[in-house]
Amino acid sequence: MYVAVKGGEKAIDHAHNLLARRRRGDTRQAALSVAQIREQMKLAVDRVMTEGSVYDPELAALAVKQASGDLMEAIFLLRAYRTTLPRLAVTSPVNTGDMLVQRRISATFKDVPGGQVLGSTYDYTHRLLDFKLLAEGEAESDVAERASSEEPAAADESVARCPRVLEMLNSEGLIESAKPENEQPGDLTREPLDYPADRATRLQALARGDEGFLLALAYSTQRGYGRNHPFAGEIRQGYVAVEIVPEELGFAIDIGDIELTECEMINQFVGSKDRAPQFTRGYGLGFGQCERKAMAMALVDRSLRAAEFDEERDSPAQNEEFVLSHCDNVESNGFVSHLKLPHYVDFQSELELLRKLRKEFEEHGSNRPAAKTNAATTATEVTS
Amino acid sequence: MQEQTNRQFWMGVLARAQLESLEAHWAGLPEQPEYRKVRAPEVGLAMVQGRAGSGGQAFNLGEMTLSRCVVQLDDGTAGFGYVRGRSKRHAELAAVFDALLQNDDRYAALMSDCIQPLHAQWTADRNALSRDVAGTKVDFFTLVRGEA
Amino acid sequence: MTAISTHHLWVPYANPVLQSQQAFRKLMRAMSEPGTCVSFDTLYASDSGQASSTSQTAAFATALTLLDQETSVWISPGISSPALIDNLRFHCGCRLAENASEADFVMLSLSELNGLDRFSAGEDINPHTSATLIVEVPALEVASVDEAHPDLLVLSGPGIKARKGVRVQGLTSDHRRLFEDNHQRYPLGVDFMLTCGADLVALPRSTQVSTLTNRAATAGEDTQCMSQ
Repeated sequence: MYVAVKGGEKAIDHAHNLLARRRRGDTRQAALSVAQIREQMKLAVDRVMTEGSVYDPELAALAVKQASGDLMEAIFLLRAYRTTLPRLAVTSPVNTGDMLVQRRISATFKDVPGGQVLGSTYDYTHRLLDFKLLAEGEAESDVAERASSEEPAAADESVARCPRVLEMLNSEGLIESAKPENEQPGDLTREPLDYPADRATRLQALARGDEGFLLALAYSTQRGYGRNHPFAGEIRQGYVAVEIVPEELGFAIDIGDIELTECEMINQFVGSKDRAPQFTRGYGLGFGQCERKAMAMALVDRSLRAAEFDEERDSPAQNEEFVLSHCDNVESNGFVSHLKLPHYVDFQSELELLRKLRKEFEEHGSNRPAAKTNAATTATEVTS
Repeated sequence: MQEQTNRQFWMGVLARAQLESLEAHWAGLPEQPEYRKVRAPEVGLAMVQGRAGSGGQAFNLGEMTLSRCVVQLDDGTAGFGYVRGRSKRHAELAAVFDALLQNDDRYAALMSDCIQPLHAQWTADRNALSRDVAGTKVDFFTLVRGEA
Repeated sequence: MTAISTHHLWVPYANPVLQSQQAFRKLMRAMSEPGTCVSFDTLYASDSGQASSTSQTAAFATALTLLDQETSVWISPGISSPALIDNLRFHCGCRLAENASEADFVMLSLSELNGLDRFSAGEDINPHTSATLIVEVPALEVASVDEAHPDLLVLSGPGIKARKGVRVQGLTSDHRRLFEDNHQRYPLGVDFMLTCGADLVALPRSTQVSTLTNRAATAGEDTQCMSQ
């Protein structure tokens, strides 16, 4: 139970002012522009777009700036903003096969048609702090140097359209096929989650889910808590066209391109008396460059399909209700943060109860199950 | 997938154009026609869908910002603008050009002076992106065979 | 799906945010005070000669306010016209339901209202998923419950202090039975919005409809039409 407390407006105003000043930092330093954040803090911006569930690099960069770089706060800001806009359309499902590839790797086949394209990645960096970046002037010249030292690619040299790696397995029947279904997928921004959830709803929840939480769960499956034997079949990142069919036109039009990262996992095979063994799949997709997130999502997607394949379900990553109801960091943040709200009355009643119990204890010398009473009171408070 | 119609093509080009380029083409028209806004430019969201396993059951990935506008020329021709992002002006100009392109007298000139250059710019940008990463393509050599 | 012709589009709200809020407020009042007549004529400045408009402003305003691309609407053959369909698709972006039973909103004329079986009445666990029926009637008027009249409906229930009277032209005994049956199913059932031109009177499922006249207790009667 919360009790309205009056007063404090002035203090809150001052706190806001102080926040604004602290957010700006030392004014002898140039202020960061939103464009700078968008261009130079791209991976932060992409994470905010994916988990904030709105593709708009400028808004995500603004949120990062406003939140002093606290990405969870930025995600919250973007989620709040999205509620102010009407939904004008639902796009056709994006065709990631037609992606303008900026990175594309497979850990399962060396010679994939289209080739392995490393793109811009931290994978092969030495993880040594680069002190040249600290001396800012040098860093600029370094970038220029790197650009000029690159041999200019021939005009015809480019990355061809890359066929899907998993389709090559599918053509031999070695992996479960992903058949398109006409059914309209559930939308958890319109209908609250209900368990058991179907795969489409699970994927939506995972796509919005916290990268850290999903990464930890994905890691747990690799360490034996719901093992499903994954291979990174294909990871691709790049630009895809977005198409809508406006009601008033009656035909499809492209509204632009967005950057996506996709991960297709090849997992443990299953078979039965009537069905030849086949690999199974896990899928991950997110906005911008979000490889770690997409991989974690694919692993958790697969582990949540345990029931579908009659696998034992005894690990956290296989527990749909556990995963889906805790993966959204806006929700988690809200409920944990609410503990900061005044609980003065609750706490006074607890204090009183505790004093009473202690008094009884002293008088009778008996030990009543005080801890149990305390737990019951707390539960009431949470639901209030 | 069906072959793109001419109109689908130019609407896609207009949606992908930079606002500054569109403004320049608008300013460069011999005469700027009158139009009224049947639906004033507005900003909203589109829910982006993906497919599980890239080809399976559709699911809702997340939303993206989208601007739209519908205009009508004095002769009654309606033009539609649907563009990614939050630029109302972009949606409005896309709608106006869509309307103008439906006019047979204006079509040829607009296609060659406006749509083709915008498309060429977009294609050039894409090729540049592609060439940028081409150097990161891996050339494997197999140690066992020793052919490299 | 066919393209929309923009030639017969009606003028929507000039100021969508403000006017749809005003319209929503009116609909709210109509639903929470059944038997109150709200009028939408002031919402439309018909100064624009460029586009045609509709005479059914209350029904159109209700559609503009409540329908969007996440709601579906079924339009009866008697009401349906290419202009209406295109305007709903264009301005509301709503889906057109093929069957009345799948629709969140239904638009029809009073003479076509001859049963409720084909409209969604909701489910026990989700009664709010029922349909809302926007019924265009030939004439609609708030009336005293004391004046006996064949078209008089006497309303009572939540949101009504004692009783309210509404005269609906073209009403048959079947309609009366249908309104009563609908109330009996509460919490299931449909909600009615009776419209005539710019006027609207709501008849939610919680309202009891009787034909009793010449009774006392006229306190709380509201014969004013809300025009703001």
